[in-house]
Amino acid sequence: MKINVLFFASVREIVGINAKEVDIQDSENSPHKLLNFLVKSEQGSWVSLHKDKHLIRLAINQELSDWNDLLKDGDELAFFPPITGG
Amino acid sequence: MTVCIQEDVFNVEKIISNIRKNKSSIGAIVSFIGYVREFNKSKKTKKLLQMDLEHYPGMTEKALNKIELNAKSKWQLEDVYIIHRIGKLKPTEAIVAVVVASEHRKNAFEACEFIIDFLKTDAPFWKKEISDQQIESWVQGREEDYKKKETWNFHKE
Repeated sequence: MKINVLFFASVREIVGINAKEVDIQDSENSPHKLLNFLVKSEQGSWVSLHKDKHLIRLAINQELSDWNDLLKDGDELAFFPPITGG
Repeated sequence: MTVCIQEDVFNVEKIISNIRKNKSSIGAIVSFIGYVREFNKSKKTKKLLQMDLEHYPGMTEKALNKIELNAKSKWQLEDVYIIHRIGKLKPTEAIVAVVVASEHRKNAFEACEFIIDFLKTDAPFWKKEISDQQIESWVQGREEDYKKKETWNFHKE
């Protein structure tokens, strides 16, 4: 299945891109598993991102979500640091 | 109810007069305005040159609308206006305004505080500071903001 992954703020600077379409197996159906897949298949900056995983927040289809929430084909997944607006 | 995300400077007086137009039931308006500080007391050596504000288009509007709706379900309100700036801001400029109108002051006071508390943790904005030494640093999330939100004892839907 295909997941459209977006990156914001300091997370975008770590990975060096704004967005990426990731094609994963149906069994890799959580943000946690998707990041593990990227670490294994591409390494590079995904390793740094994985190391800082506890500092990263995420959203699935623009709703704040957790690392073990379920992903489905066509979902939009975003990784970003803790929010600092206002 | 209005949610507005923009680069331009805003005028709270204008917002208030728009809210009050044709609404004679309004007896109280409370507004919160957040500004860019030139100095941060916790970082004594730094003087701020510029603040860059980034957001997640789409999710930001959804999150702010949800916060407004939650406030409206908890308090009887006549109107709510949330405006948040993005892009490059200079010290002393206004970043955010929350304007709440109600029949009596208690509802407006409480709802205004509730909205800014949830905006701080749930609306996807990020600030980057650029110091007068040209040092760039992302503002860190504050644990106190999460603790403050928890005090509302609000149940996630």
